Amino acid sequence: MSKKTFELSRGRITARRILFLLLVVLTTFLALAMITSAFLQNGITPTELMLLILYTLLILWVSTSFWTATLGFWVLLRGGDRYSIGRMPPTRGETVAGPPRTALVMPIYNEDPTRVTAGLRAMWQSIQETGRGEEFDLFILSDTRDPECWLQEEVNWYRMCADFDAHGRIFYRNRERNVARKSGNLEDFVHRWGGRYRYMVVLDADSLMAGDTLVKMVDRMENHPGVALIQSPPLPANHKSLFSRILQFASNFYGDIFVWGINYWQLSSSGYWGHNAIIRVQPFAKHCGLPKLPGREPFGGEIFSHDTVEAGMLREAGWEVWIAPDLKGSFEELPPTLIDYAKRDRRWCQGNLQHLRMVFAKDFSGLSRLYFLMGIMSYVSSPLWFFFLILTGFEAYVMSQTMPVYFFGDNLFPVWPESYVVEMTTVLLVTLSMLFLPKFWSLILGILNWRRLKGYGGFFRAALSVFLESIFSMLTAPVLMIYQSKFVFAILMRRSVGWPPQNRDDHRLSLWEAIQAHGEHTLIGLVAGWISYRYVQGFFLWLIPVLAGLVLSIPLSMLSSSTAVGQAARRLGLFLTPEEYDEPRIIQLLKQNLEIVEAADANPLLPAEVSKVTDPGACALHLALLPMRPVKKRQRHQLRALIYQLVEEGPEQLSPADRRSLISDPESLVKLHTLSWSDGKDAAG
Amino acid sequence: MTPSTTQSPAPTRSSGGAEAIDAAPILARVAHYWRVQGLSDDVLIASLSDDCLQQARRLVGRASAEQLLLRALEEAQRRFDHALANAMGLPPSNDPHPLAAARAALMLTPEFSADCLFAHDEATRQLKDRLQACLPRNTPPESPIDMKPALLRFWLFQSTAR
Repeated sequence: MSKKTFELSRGRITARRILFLLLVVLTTFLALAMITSAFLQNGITPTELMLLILYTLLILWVSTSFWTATLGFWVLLRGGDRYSIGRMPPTRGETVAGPPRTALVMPIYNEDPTRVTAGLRAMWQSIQETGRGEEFDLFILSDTRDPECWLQEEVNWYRMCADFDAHGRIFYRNRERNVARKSGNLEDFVHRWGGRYRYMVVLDADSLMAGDTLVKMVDRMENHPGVALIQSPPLPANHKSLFSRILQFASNFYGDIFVWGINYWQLSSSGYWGHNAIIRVQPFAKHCGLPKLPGREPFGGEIFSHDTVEAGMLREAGWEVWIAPDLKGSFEELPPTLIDYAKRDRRWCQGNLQHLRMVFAKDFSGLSRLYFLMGIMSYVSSPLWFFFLILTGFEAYVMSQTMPVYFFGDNLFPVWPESYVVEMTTVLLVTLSMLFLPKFWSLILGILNWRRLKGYGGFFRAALSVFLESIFSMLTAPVLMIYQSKFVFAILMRRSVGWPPQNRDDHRLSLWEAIQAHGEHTLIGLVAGWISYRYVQGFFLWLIPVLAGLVLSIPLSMLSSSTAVGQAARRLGLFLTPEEYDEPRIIQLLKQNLEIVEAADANPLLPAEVSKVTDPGACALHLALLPMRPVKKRQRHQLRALIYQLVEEGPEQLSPADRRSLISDPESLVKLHTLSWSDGKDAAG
Repeated sequence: MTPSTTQSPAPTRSSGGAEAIDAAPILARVAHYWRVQGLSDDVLIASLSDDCLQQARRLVGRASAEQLLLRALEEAQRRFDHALANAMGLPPSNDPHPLAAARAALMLTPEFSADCLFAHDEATRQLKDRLQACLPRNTPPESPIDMKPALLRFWLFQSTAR
């Protein structure tokens, strides 16, 4: 296969990257010059030196994000970028025989089977509506360990095949051992069936992609044989809680400028976000086999955040990796509460910090190293901000204790202390501007595109939503800062967090849950507030926004978890997104299928709470899908002992692993099924 | 959790004097089991349930009600599988998968009724072809490609093993 590049010249790529880096470095340098001039006057103290180092790192990070958004804003003002994968002319390469076949692959792990199935059904229907359904197969790659969830996934899969007459087109397999988590799951797919497909579209359990979008992605890959991966920018959709609706609005309203900005400077060396992306199978198989890192977790072992590493491997092998900012119809879901968001962050934090080692990998280019560093910085910036605040408070205290000396030596006239209020205020304003201007850019784009703004409820509602979102993000930022700082320290202390499944269901937080999660934040806020008010009153005033977020974290977290409040905001037209205003077909299909899947599971002959092992149909299906494995005599005795234990003590006394062993063995499964009908108890729990 | 029973047949008592077992709940449970397996003809269900209970009695004699029910259910499974294997033309085998696949297709596809398994008429003969198209095919034939772990070499750290 050819790796012929586009007409996009090397010079243009370099020029764009130099421009971007210059803007970032110059902004950092200017901000730093101002703050240094204030510090230098009386000689730099060790605290000030530390502040300077921290500020340099933080302002670098902030200006990277700011200039990405600003370049994206500039590109959108000019009507888009001709150097984006959607606008590039097709490139010639070696013709590959036969029509392209694409596998939609969804790795899942103990996810809600109803939502997973409804999403897959919606995507399948949407693909069929394009008229090109024959080019696609669908794989549910289950790593699910929970026995009930496993059985339910199988039944849902079979019903899907039956409903769409897609036997032999929609596939399901459950791995016996979930080696290397998601990346191992995908690797297993490539190992076993990769030869059947030219492309695979990797989905997450909460992914939703319109058929049109999938077809466009395939066409772009066909048109550009040098491209190994195209990432679609997924937008959050279908949310109800206030927290997720605010985040959904923010991603939707501000997302465009960031994605176009990323495309502006990354071009053909972009990244991979792990899902909602199309991948050319052959180069992926050739270059993206992930090794185990030497040492133990959290820095060694299996690579957690595999996507960034895989994209790096493809780029280093000479393949192009693009983001497609113009592709719509790609959706994902967000955690419904602040606590769930933090839990997800904890997993991602470990994955990104593990990339510290990848920065020292010999075979990666400077750009790949930069991406690894950016991922690391997205979490390390929190403890850096935390230290920065503490040191600033300390410095303010020291300054407040210093008595100014007006007369030196024999001077008759007083020497007035110089004021650096102008410099320091400028630094603060520059930093705040860089944080808030991207929101303003998006609002300007909205004003220029009235039709787009209508989807956000019109100008006034959109502007009010931006204002309220800014307040909300300002209040939640200190809470997330403390969470992420804790995660970073825990990981640096070599405490692995594992890879637990993520909670995606709406649920209102109870007071007790909120106190458990945010009690320490409230306490930190109160103590920091009292100390700063007591000792450095000037600093206290500056600290109020941070303190407010911490002190109000319990009511804020509870209120934002509410779906009632989220829906009330929607009725008022707040945090509205175009997908809520005018629901796309794929989301309509998702909602229809959620109802269908829930209704299909209600068997009038069996109570809803019985185990799937009791259901003869589910049990037969499970048996049909189990692989033939010879069972050793000792294992057979162990399985029988487990059945006795289950009968005598009840299924709840068995661990999920034991219950899984039982339903993984055909003989034990049939025994359990019969017992569940004969002893008046649901044997499988 | 006990599956709910519906349409319990009239209570009958098994022979055996003082140690007699009330057969009605057993028959009701077996009948319910037939229904959940996809049978809907009440007369057929009653007759099959009774046959299963008789066979269970022959096997276990004067055992407890629980034992009797267990054997009756196993007999129901055996009869169902036998009828299905006949309908599908499946030869006797130790591999439970083909029969389980047919059972799953029959029970999970709403358009099928299991009554025809015992009718021995044209519908039974047609069932084979219709079921064949609905058999679960969870994975396609494999078409493997190699995916070797890449070698990562590090400064300051140990490299990965290939």
